[in-house]
Amino acid sequence: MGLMRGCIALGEAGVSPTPNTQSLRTKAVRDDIIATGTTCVRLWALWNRCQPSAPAAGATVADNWAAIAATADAQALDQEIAWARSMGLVVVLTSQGSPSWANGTTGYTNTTAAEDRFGSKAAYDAYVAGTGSTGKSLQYRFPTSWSTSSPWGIWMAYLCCRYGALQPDPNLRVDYLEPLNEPNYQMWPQQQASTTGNIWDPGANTSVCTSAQMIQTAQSMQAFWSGPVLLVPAASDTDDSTTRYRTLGTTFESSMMSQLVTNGFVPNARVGWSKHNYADMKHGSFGDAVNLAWTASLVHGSGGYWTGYPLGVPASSEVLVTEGGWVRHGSMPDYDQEQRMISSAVAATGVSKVTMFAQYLITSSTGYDSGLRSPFGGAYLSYVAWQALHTGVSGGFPQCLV
Amino acid sequence: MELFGHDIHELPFGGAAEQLQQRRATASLVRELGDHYSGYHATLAAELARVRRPTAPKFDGIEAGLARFDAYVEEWTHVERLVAAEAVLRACAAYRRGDAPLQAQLPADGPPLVEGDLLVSA
Repeated sequence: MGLMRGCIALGEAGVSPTPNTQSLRTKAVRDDIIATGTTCVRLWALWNRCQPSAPAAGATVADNWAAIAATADAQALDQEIAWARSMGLVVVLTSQGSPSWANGTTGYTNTTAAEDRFGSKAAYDAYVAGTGSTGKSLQYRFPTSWSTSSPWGIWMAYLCCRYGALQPDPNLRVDYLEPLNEPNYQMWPQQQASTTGNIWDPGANTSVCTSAQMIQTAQSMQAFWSGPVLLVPAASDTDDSTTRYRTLGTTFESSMMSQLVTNGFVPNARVGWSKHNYADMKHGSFGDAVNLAWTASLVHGSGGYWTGYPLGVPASSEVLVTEGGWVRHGSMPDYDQEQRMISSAVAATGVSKVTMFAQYLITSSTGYDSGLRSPFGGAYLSYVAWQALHTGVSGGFPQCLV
Repeated sequence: MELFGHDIHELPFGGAAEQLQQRRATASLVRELGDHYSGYHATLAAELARVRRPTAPKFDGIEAGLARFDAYVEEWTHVERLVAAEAVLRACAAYRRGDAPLQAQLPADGPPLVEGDLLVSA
């Protein structure tokens, strides 16, 4: 059984200017990180919050960066990173969201582009009738341009420069940068407009092509600014079939690998393969971690193409799980839930070259109950299980996370 | 008209396509590109072979980097546009052959766009 790094992915609210239950600036959160033996955290870089206003005409790159760094949100992110570094933690920084001025959603309402933001026509109708949920947020629309000269390119340059090797303050350097978050699920649109006359019908996939180009842009910025190791593509492992709303995780990952080959993208020791893994817990794949194993085989079986992190050698390329966890739905007894989560985590350590396993949230959010603590603060059994995975001091489980 | 994230009227095809781009004669442009794939591909391939993949310069400190950054971005932008132009070219050719609707998607079984930092002929 190999060792791998356990990581807590904190909620995006954690990088808000006001510290909260997802922030390292909050002592209770730091105490939980220390008490569980966790050695890595994943934090969010929220572009829509850090650059809410379009740069003035003629603004230089330096002007753009100065405007970003001056926002309270960017300063809060700096503080979160500084806390993590002072605790000796490995840091994964994940970029998420686009400001409306950069993704073309200025003036959009909750029903604009409904076919790309709601899971189905029925879901949209339910929303309009007041009985359903809202669709995908406007901030998750892909930016309208993602080239090196685009605003998104300048944002990537900011992250690579500020948090990379050129940063003179070692307390502001991060280890990994994920330029995308769930480009096959959270982000939209996934497909071109339908050509059938029915806007809800499928169109050609666009999320793979767009994301692959964004990854190239991120790499070109990383190369110039000595940025952190990139982790891509950070796909959702959704096992729901492909629709306008989402792209099946396995389809997206395999298509992404093919698209990167097609585009002439050159993986190297500074680019790792990341993914999210809720499925192995959802299905309780005790001892086999089928979802992770599938991705590992994709990465290692790419005909020698994926020469990625950490050595630039196909056989040793790693897969890093940057998000995962059991999402509680209330109907399952706690004991069973926690056992499934633990078993999956342990099983995953047996999957070749999976070297990071992230648990999404310490304290669950009210809308996403995957944490080690309930939204009201009480520790779930998974808290003890996570601790045991690091320390081996309780629960009788082997020590398998570092 | 946008394909692969680029306005097809602004990509560097050269030749007869250039006038059609200036007139924004989209249908004629698609026909011209799709029917003359080989010639346009050769032009694009020669240009990428000339400029190759931009390499990040060595510099000392962030200020020095900023001074050289715009030139680097310009080089990359040129390469991105060449590769996108090849993708558009292939999409137009497939469309004109009647193989596929005009869309931002390459045939799944086609050769890569770029190999060894050079454009590949479809």
